[in-house]
Amino acid sequence: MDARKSLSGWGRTASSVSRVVPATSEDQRAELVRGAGPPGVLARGLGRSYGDAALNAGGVVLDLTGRKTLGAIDADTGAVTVDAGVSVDGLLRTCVPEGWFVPVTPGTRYVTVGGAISSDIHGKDHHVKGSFGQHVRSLDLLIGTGEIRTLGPGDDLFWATVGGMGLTGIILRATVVLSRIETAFCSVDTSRASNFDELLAAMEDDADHEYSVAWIDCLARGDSLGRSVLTRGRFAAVDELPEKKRDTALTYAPRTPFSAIRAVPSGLFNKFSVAAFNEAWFRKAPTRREGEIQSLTSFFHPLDAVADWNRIYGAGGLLQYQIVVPETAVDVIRSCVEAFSAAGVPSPLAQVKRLGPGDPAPLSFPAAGWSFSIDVPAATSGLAELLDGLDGLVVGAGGRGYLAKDSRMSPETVAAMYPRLGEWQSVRDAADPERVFRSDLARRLKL
Amino acid sequence: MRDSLGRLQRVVAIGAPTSAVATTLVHWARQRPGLVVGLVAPESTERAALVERLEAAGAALTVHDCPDRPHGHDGHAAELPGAVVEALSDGDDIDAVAFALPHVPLAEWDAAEASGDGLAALVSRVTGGSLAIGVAATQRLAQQGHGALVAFVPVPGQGEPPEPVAGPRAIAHAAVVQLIDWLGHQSSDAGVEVIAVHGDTEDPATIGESIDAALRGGLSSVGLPSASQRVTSVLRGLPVIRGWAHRQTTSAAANTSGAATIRAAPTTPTTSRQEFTS
Repeated sequence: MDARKSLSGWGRTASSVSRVVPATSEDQRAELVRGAGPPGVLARGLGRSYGDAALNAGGVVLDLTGRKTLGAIDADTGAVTVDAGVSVDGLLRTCVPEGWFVPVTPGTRYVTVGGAISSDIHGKDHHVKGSFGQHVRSLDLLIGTGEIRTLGPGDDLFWATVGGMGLTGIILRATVVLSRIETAFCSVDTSRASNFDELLAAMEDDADHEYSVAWIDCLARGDSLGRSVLTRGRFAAVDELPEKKRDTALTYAPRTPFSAIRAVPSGLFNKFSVAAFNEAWFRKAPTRREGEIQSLTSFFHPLDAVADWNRIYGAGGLLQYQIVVPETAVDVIRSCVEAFSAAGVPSPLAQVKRLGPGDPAPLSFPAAGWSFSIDVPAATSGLAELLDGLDGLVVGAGGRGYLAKDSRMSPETVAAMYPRLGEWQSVRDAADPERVFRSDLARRLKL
Repeated sequence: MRDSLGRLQRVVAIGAPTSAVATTLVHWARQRPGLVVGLVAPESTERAALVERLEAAGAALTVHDCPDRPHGHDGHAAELPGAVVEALSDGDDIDAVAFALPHVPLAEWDAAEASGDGLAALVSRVTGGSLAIGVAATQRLAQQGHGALVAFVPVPGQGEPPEPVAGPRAIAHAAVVQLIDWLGHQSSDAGVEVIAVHGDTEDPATIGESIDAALRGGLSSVGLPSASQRVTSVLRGLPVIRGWAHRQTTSAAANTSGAATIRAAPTTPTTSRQEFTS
C-alpha cells in the first residue's frame, strides 16, 4: 500500500506531499527506482532531519523503517550488518546487553542507520571517534539504474554516500563496527561555567574525555554571557557501579516517552518562560561534580524521554542552527552567542562542542574546531536576518552549516561552505546521471 | 523551494498588478535576493513600475505579455492565455502563484447589462478566465506536491460602491471568491495552499507579512485593519490551528472599527460558513 501523504521534517516547518511507499522486496524497490520519473525517489527513515532533507515533493518517498533485519554481532570485532531501516534504538536494544555500543550516537536514538550514514551523524565523542561514516565497514547501495553496489571506504561513491543526504541512492544495509562496553552506565563529570571565557578554559582538556558537550544559556547577558553547564563522561566499569546495579550492569530498558503536549500547555513557550527554564537548569547543575553514575539513556538521549518535544516550539515549528568553525575561529562561536543573547531569541537548547578532524566525505559536516547549535522557534521575528548575518561570519571563517539540520540556507551559502561540493556532484552524477534521487533539500540548495 | 522562514525561491505572478500584488512581490523579493519571478501581465505603466521595483530588489525577472484580462468571445468559455501556460510550464518548482483576479470597471458592467448578450460574455470572461487560470495554477502546484496560490480579489475602482451588493456583478464576484475557496478545498490534499486576499494596500507590514504568516501555516485566517482589507487563508487539514485561528478572526473582527463581516474559512466543503459581525 502506498499513499499520497504530507510530510515534514522534525522542525515541522516546510511540508510537502509525496507518494509514500513502504519498503518491500529488493526487486520491487529496484523497479520503483527504475520507473521513478522526473519527481524522483528518496529514502526516509524516522524523519529526524530538522528541515526538508527527508522530503521529496511530488515524488516517491520510500519508507525504510519497515526493514529492520539485524545480523549477529561478531564477537571479536563488533561488526554487525543491519538493514538501513534499523534504528539506533533497535540496535542498542540488541547490542548493549551483549556488551556493545554504537560507535557514534546523536542526541536521539530514534534515527535509522541509513539516516545516520546519509547525514554522517556525530555525537559527543566526535573529537575522539569521529563521525558515523568512519565506523561503517561496507554498505549496499541501490543506485539509479536499479543495480545494487557494495561499497567500502576505498570507493568514492561510498564517501559521496556518507553525508550525501540520500542523494546518491538508497542505502539498503550496512556493516557497522560497534564499540565494547562493560556496563550500560556512564561516569559523568559536571561543572558550571559562569561565562563564555570560563567555558572555553574548561574545555581546554576535552581531548582527555571520551564524551563532552556544553549546554549554554543563550539568553544570559552581561557578565553571564555564555554561562554554561559542561558535561563530560565515559562508560563506567562494573566496579564503579553501586553494588545493587552490578548484576544488571548491561541491562538496557529505556522508559516509554511521555508526551510534551500534555506536559507543556500551548502558548507557554516564550522568552520569559525560557529564561526561567534556563535559570533553573543552570542553578540545578552542580558547581562541580565528578564520577556521577548515570544510565546511558540519561547521558546520551535525555530528550528522548519526551516523545514529541518538537511541538513545544509552537505551531510555527522550530529550526536548528548548527555550525562548525576551525579551532582558530572560536570568536565566531562567541559572536553567535552574543547575537542570540542580544536578540533575546528564546531557546532552551543550545550547545557548544569541540569536534575532531573530519572524514573524507565531501559533504560531511564535522570538521576540526568548535561546533555551536541552537534550537529556535521558526516564527521568531528577525530570525532570517540574524541567521543570514551569522552565515556570513561562518563562511568568512571557513566554517559550515549542517545539511541535516538546515532548512533555510541559500544555494550560494552552501556552495561557499562546502568547497568540495563540485567533487561530490561529479561522483553523484556518475552514479545517478538521471538524478533519480531527489529531495526538497536538494531542490532548495541546488545540490 | 520555500524555506522554513517562509522565503520563496520562485514565484509566478499572473494578471494586471494591483498595488497589493506589487507590494507582495517586492516584499518577497526583498526577503530572498535572487527570487525568480515570472510576471505574466499586460503591458502597462503599473507593470513597468513593478519590473523596476523588482529588479531593484534583486529579483531575476521574466516578463510575459498577456491580454489585459482572460480571453472570452461570442459567449464561449474563456481560453487560457499562452503566456500563462508558458510561465507555469517549465523550470524549477514554483513556490507561489500570485494571481490578480480580473477587475471589470462598474461602467463596463453597466454597459454589458444594457446590451443583454454582452452580459453573458462578460460573466464568462470574469468567471471562466479565473477558473481556467486557477485550475491550471493549482494543478501545476499539485503536481509538485507543494506551493501556494495567492489570489488577489479585485477591489472596486474610485467612485464605485465598496463591494458589489446585488445584480450580475455581485454574482460574478461571489462566484470567483467561491471558486478560490473551492480550489483550496480540492487541492489541499495535494499540498497546495490557497489564500484569498481581499483588499488593496501598499503597506507591506499589513499585507506581505499577513500572507507570510498564512504561508508559514501558523494561521488559517487573518483579519486586516479594515473590512475592505482582509486576508482569508484557506489552509486545509490543520484542525488544531484552525480552531486557534478561528478565535483570532473573531478577535480581529471585534477590534475592527466599522467592520461589517469577517468570515472564518469553512472546515470542509460541506460545513456551513460561520459569520462574525461586529
